[in-house]
Amino acid sequence: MLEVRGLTVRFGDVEALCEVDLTVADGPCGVAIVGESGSGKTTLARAVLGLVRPAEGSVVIDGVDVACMRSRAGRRASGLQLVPQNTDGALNPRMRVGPAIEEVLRARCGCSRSEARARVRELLVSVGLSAEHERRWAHELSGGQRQRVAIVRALAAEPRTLVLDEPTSGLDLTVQSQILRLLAALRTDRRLAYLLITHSLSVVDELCEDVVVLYLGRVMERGPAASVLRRPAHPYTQALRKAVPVLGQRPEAPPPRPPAAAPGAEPAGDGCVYHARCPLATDLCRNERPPTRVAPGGQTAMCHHLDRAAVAQ
Amino acid sequence: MSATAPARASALATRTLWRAGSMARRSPLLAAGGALAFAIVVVTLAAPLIAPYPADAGTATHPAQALLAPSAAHLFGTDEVGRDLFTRVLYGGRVSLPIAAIVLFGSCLIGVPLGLIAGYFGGWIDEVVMRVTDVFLAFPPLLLSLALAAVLTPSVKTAVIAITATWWPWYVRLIRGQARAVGASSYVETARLLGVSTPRLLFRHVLPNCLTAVVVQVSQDLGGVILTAATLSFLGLGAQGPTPEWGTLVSEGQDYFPTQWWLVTFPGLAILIAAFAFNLLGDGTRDMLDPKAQVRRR
Repeated sequence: MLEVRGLTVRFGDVEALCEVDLTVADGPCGVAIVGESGSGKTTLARAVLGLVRPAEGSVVIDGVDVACMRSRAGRRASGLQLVPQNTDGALNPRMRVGPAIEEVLRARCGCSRSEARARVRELLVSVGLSAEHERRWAHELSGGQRQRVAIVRALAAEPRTLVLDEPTSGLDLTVQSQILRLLAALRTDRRLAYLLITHSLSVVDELCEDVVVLYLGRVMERGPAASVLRRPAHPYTQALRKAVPVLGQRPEAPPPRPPAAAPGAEPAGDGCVYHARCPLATDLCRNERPPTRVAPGGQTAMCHHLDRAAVAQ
Repeated sequence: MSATAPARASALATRTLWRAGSMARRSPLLAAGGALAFAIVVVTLAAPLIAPYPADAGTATHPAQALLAPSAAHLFGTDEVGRDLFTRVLYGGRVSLPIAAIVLFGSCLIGVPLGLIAGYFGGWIDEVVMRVTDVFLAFPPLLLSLALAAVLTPSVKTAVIAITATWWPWYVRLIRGQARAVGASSYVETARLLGVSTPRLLFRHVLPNCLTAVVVQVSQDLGGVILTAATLSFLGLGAQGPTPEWGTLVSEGQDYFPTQWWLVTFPGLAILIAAFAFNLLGDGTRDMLDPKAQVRRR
């Protein structure tokens, strides 16, 4: 079980994350972090992996703080692994696929070369590649194959929780759906828990039961994926939802981001961070921190005007 | 058995030729540079067999034949004591090329590990390594070499030590920059998260992705080292007296340049061709080392 408690991350004066709470239960299950660029999704992932030191709060895995897991042994014990974004740069260009997987296996267990080799082939086949791919260089693989290799490497470390950073970015739609199907199957077969980082709402549906919507490092809305995606309560989530392209319809662009709402340019005082872009904003939003309220769909949203938002939708 | 041996040899020759041909098609740069560099090395090694007057490589003098222009008997002419310049240029390679090779090998031996460690680990290790390197870079190369020569007796060995002492810091800087960039890359971070050990990260992930820069730099520095060795010889620090080093030959011939042009021109051409060949070889190797440029090999 992965717990994020009151996590705050600062880069200089910029508050990239502010008091974020999150729980990912033991698998098979999935929690998605959704938001635009600059919302703090990737920072959250990096903090969870122990790559960013939080200013406040903690990340706890099975009762152990990840801050104490910087060593290799600690990481191994955590059972937490990353499937990195941008698979173009995620594989060493001077290493063939086989050795790239083998090194993970051998780092984990003291198994012999031949054992590792056999296991590499098994793993490759288990993600829909063939044993023949072990001799390929990264650049000889298609985007989808590279993503599969990145998944295999993470699996080779025998994780219990996988952080999936934009697992389908840069892939065309048919390949996206293949990768999503693969991830869904692995989740069940290997009882994996997913922490999915994505800007694409359509990806969430297939892999996660729960969604957390981030904006400028703060949680805007959270709850069961079905409610958050079908009946978003927060104006920000609603704007994200409307921006999803539907065949034959023109997607509605979310309200533009004024300069004042760039990451780091926080409003003075305790107001809602979204107020500068929110069509429903009032003086109340500018001055007072929004309360956490339960929406009709069962999710919680941090907004003063849930009733009006429900009507506006 | 004896009947099949020639057949086998010819099959091997055919295969080698075919392979060389396919490589030449894939990378003409590499083939041209490789062929030229190979030719230079072979000619240099075979100098005693090719040179028309092997004795002229040493202290022999033929006053009657001093300063003759190039002719059939003396392809490159003769020097001020009548020695055959063609012979001396051939033998010069036996001094100049090893100097360049040893200096560059030594520079890599010192520079690559230091740069790798400084660039990958950063922090105080980086500070210490780079400040020490800066100290060496702070001295003008010739001044440092002169200081070293004051301590050591002038010889080819001194020249090698002096040049290496001024050459390695550039390799530290080069590798450090590369290692920093590679160390911050997504694949190194991912490998670290996946539990790959630090030595393995350094030698299997970071180093191979830095080496291209080193190979190219080495090939490009080859000419430079030969020239620096020449400068040192000119100042009386490098190869001495009758030793026919290319740089020494150029500096000895300098005084005669207006009237006896061949004394500077032919050793100079030797330096130029060697530098050019190894440059081509370096460029070709860089292309070849880039897996993206490779046709898939099975």
